[in-house]
Amino acid sequence: MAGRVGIVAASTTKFEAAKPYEHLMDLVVEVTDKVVEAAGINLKDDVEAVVSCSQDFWDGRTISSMPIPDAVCSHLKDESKVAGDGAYAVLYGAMHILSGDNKLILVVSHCEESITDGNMIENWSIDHIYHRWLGLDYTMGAAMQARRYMDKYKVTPEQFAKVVVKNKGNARKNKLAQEAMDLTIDQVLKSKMLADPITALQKKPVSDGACAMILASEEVARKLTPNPVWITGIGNFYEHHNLGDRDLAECDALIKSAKRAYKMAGINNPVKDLDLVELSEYYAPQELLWTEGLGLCGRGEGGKLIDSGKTQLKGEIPVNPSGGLLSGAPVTVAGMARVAEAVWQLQGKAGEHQVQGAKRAVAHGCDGLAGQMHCVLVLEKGGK
Amino acid sequence: MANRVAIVGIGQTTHSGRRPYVNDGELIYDAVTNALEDAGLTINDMEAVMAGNMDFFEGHHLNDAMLNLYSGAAGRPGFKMNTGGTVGTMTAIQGWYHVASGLYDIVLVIGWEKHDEGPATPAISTITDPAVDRHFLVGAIGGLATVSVAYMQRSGCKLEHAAMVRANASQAAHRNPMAHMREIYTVEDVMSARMVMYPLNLLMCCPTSLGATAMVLASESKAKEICKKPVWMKDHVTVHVEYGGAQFGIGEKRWTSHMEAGAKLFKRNHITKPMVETQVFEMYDPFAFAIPMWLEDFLVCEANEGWKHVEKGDLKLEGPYPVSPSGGVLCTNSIGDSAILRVAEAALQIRGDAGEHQVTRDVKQALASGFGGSYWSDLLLLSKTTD
Amino acid sequence: MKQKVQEELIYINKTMKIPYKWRTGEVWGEFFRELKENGVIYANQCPTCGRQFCLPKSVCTRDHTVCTDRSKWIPVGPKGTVVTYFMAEQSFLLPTTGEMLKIPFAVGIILLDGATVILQHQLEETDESKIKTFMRVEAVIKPKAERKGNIFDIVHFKTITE
Repeated sequence: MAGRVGIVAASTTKFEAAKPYEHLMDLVVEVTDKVVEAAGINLKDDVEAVVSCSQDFWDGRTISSMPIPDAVCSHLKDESKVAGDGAYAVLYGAMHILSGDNKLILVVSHCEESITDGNMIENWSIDHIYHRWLGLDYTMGAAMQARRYMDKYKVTPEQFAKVVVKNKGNARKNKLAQEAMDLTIDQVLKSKMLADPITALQKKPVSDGACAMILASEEVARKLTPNPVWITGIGNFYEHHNLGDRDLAECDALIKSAKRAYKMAGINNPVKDLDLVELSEYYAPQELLWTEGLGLCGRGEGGKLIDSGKTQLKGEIPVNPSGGLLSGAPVTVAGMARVAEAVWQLQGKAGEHQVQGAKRAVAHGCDGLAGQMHCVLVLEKGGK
Repeated sequence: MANRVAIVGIGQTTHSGRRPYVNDGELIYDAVTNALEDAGLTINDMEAVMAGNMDFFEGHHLNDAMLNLYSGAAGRPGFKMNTGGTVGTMTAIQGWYHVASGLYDIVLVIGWEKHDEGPATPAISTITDPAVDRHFLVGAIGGLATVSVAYMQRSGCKLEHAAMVRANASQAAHRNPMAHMREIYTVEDVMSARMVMYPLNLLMCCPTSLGATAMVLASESKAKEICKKPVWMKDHVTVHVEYGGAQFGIGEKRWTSHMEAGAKLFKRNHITKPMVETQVFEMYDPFAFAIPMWLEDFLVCEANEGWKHVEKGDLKLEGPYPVSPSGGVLCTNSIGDSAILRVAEAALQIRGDAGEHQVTRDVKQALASGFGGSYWSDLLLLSKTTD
Repeated sequence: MKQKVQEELIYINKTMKIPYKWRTGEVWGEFFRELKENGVIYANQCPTCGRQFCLPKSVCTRDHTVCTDRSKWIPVGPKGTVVTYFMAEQSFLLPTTGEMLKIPFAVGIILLDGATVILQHQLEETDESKIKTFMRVEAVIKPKAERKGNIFDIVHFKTITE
C-alpha cells in the first residue's frame, strides 16, 4: 500500500429503539457536524468527497442517498453510495485515499429500522426463486445457524446466553448504548422464544441511528490530530447465498477476510497481537462463531472461549467492550459503528468502557442471511 | 500513487424488452461469460467481483449477495454500490478504486437490470421524499420533461431537433446487434409518436430494457501482460448536487453537475477542444433532448450550440463527432447496466471492435457519461495509450 | 439459450407491499403545522446565503448552515410562477397508492413569490396548450376543517391572470 489511511475522528448518534422526531437526514447532519468538529475541519472547504452508506429497502426510497448532498454540503462534489454494511463504506473510503484521488473524505451511514418491518425487508433479500417463499428472515437463519453450530461443535444455549450477559452488561458503561441491562443466563434463556434456540434477548434490538467518520491520507491525518488511527489491514469476502452451498456452522468468508486483513497488518497471533475486537453479532450465537472466524480461538471453540472469560471487558482479548450490536445499532450503520468504537478505544476516548493501553483493534461488519458477507478491518493506534 | 487501470475484457448480453426464459442470475452469468472470454481469463483469475443494480426495480434487497453464484462473487471480495442511473459508471469507478488503490490487480465489474421483472416508473418515483414530492414525480420522465421544456425555452432548440436525435440514434442502433430498439425511424415517424409527457413523446424517451454488461479491469502491469488492446481508464469525475431544482438556475447562474464534471475533467487532462481531442462520446442519453443539451452542459460544445450540431449532422455515427454511436440509452435502457454499457461501448470504439457501429474516425480518447439521481453526473475519459 | 414457448414458462408473481412510517423531522413538521393550522405556506432562510427555501430545508446544501431559526421563517406565495412543468398523458402505477395515475396529470415546478428554491405540485390546468412556462399560478388551499397537515392541504395550483 502506498501510504497509510488514517481515521481522524468518528461520531455516532445515540442509538435508540426509535427516533420519531428525526428525519433520516437530521441524523446525518448530527453525526456529520459532530465528526467535523471533532476533526477540527471545515465541512465545505476541506472535505473533498463523501461516501455515504444506506439501504434503499430500509429507507423506503430508491437511491436512498438522494437527500445526502443537502445534509453533508456535497453540492458539486464527488459523492457515492455503498449499499451494504457500513464497514464496506469505510473500506471504500480507504480506497479513495489509497488511490491518491483524495486526501480527506467523509464517510457516513444512516438507518432508521423502526420506520418499517425488518422481517419483511430481510425476507426480500433472500432468493426469490426458492427460499423467499418459505418466509425466511434473518432470525430464522440465525436459528438454523445456531442449531447447526450446536450439533456440530457442541456449543450450548448457556454459552450463547453468556454473550448477551456480557454485551448488554458492557453497555452499562457506554453512554451511547441503547440497551444496557444487568442480566443472568437464566433470564436470557427464559426470554420469549423467537426461533429455537434464539430467544428475544439474543437478538439485536431494533435501532435507529447514524455514524460518520473522517478519513485522510497519512500526511493530512498527522496534521489534523496527534492520534490518528491507521487502517492497516483490509479483508472482505462473500459466502454463497444458497443455503445448500453453505455449512452454517462454518464461516469461510470470515476466515478468509480475517486472514487477508491480518496478513496485511502483520498480525500473526490475534489474541496476543490485538487488544480488542468489535464484531457484528446480530444474534448471540454469531459472536461465538465470529470469534472462531477471527482466529481468537480454534474451530469449534467459540463456546470454550466465552467460558474462559478472555473476551470479557477486563479479559485478555475483550470482544465488544462497547456492548456490540446486542446493545443496539441499526443494520447498515452497525459495521461502521464498530469501527467508530474501535477508533475511540485506540484514541483513548472510550470513557468508562476503555480498554487500557489499546494499540491494535479489529472492527468487523457483516450483513445478509446468517452473515453472508464479512468485512474485517485492522486498526492501529497512531501517535503516542 | 495510483496504479493505472485498464479495461482488458468487455462483455454484454443482448438487450431486449422481455426475456422471460432467463432469470436475473442467468442474465448476469451471460455477461460475465462474455467478458471473461473476451479477456481470455477465467473467473478464478478475478480477485474481486462487484455488481451494481437498483434494488427496488426488481424487488430484491441485497441482490449482489443473492446472485453472487452467477456473478462469481461467491467466495470472493466485493460489495455493491447503487446511486441510480449512475450506478453503472459508479461500479466501473468502484472497480477502478479497487485496482488503483493497489489492493487488487484484476477485478470484474458488472451492471445489470432485468426490467421485465418489476415496474421501473413507480420504483423511480420513490427517489423523492415521501412527505413532500413523491406524489408529484412520475418516474424519471417527469423530471426530464421539465428540463426539456426549459432547454427549448432558453436555447431555441425545437421538437424537430429532438426528433432528429432519435432518428439518428435509430440508425446507429440498427447497426448494433446488442441494442434493444433497432427499428429505423425517420424524423416524421418520431414527430408523430404518441405523447407521453410534453414535450417527450414515446420515441423521445428511452425504453425499458433488460440486459447486463461486465468488464474486466486490471492494473497496468497485469494489463500489459495479458491484453493486446487494453483501454485505459484515464480519469473520472463524479459530481452530485443539491436536491431538487439546481438544474434550473433560478436566481443564479445555471451550473449543473455536467458542467462541473466537464470543467474538472477537461482541466485536469489539459483538454481545451473536447470535440477534437476526444473522438467519440458515449453519452448517457435517457431522452432525446439530452444529446444537444448535455453536449453543451458537459462543456463539449458552446452553450445553445448543441441543437445546431444536431441539425448539421455532426453527431451522427459517420459525423465529425459521433455521440452515442451504439444507439445510446435512447435505444437501450437497462438502468443498472446503462451507464456501464456507455463505458464498455466507448472502450469498444477505442479498440476498433465495435463492428458495424464502429465510428469512422480513429479513436484515441473517448468520453463516457452516467446520469441519474437528483441530476448527478459521472464523466469518464478513456484512452488508447497511457499518456 | 434458445427461446422457449412462452405459455410453458413458470412465473413467480408477487405484489410488494411494505409498511413504512417515515419521519418528517422538525422543519417539515413545522411547515405542515403552519399549513394545517393557519393555511399559510412558509419558507425558511439560510442565514449565510439568504436563499429562501420553500420547501423548507433544515440545513442549507451550499453552506451547511442550520436553517431552523423560526424567527427567519417567512410566509411565501400563495402566488407563484411556473418555472417549468410536465404533463403526463400516459398512466403509470403509483408507488404510494398502488393505483394507476389519473391522467392527464400536470405538475409544475413552482417558484412561490418570495422563495428562491422551488417546490413541485399539481397544476389544476390539464389542457397542455394552456400551460406555459412563466405563467402565474396560485395555491388552492383546503378549508381548515379538511386540512390534515400534509402536502395535500394544498389541493393544487390554479392558473391566474396578472
